[in-house]
Amino acid sequence: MTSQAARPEPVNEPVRTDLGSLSVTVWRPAVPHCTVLLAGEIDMITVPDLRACVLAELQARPLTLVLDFRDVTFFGSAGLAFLIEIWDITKEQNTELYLTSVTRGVARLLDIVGLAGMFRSDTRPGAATP
Amino acid sequence: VPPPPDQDEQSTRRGSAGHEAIRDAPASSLRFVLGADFSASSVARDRVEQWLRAHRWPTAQIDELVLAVSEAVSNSVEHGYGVSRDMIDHVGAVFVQSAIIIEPDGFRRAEFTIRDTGSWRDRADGGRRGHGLLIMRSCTDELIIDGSPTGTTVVLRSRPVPPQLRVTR
Repeated sequence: MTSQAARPEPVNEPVRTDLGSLSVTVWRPAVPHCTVLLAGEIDMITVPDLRACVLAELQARPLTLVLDFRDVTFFGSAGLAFLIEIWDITKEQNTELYLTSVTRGVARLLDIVGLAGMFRSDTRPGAATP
Repeated sequence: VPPPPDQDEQSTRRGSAGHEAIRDAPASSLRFVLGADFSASSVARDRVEQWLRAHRWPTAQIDELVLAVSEAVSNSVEHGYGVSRDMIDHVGAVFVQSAIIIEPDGFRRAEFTIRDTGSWRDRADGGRRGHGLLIMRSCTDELIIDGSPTGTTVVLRSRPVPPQLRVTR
């Protein structure tokens, strides 16, 4: 196993990366835990960089990965493909994936494709009723 | 009947001071052409959202229609023209038109037509495009896809919304 070399150090302060219309803030308070705060549009333009960022975090095999959707303004099929891939990887490496503050739009999309029950999640206040 | 002009052009052009047109009624139709690149769906989302807001469309339906149009434009770019993320000079174009249809009972529907001249390819991407189609179907009342080797036309028709109240003083 060479994962030791790729293991990122804990960062107590959230680190924000700007990916155009999406900003991604990674918080790694302890190595086994990682929170990724998403703000902006998750679409075909931003997904490749977002994917690279999250895959890099998963290299460290954290116990939990929390994706925080509270400030996501758009989420379409590209985002869906990303989420499904992340679900697969986390399942395989026993990282617990949790979606928090899921917006109405994201919840609606998961519902449309019949994947709403696949993710452990909570909704953003006010987002529960479609 | 000649196609309607792009009456919406003035009101949606951003940052051009002095063009803040104040009109009694928003444009009944919208027409624009997008270059086939990865920014196309984002531009389409902005324009469709502004247009529907101008028509005081119900907010929940705006979200659904914006999503449906975005998926249709993404499909044209990615699957119709086979454009990848780094291509910025593809010659293909995506044509977007919309209109509001008033039904006999006064209810309104928004209809969007998204057209490309790419080549229709069947699901060859492991279901991603299938999700796009499912989303378009779920967010509209009617989805019509006319695919041929020389182009694809997608028509999205919204669910009916109540007549707009005209407040007169």
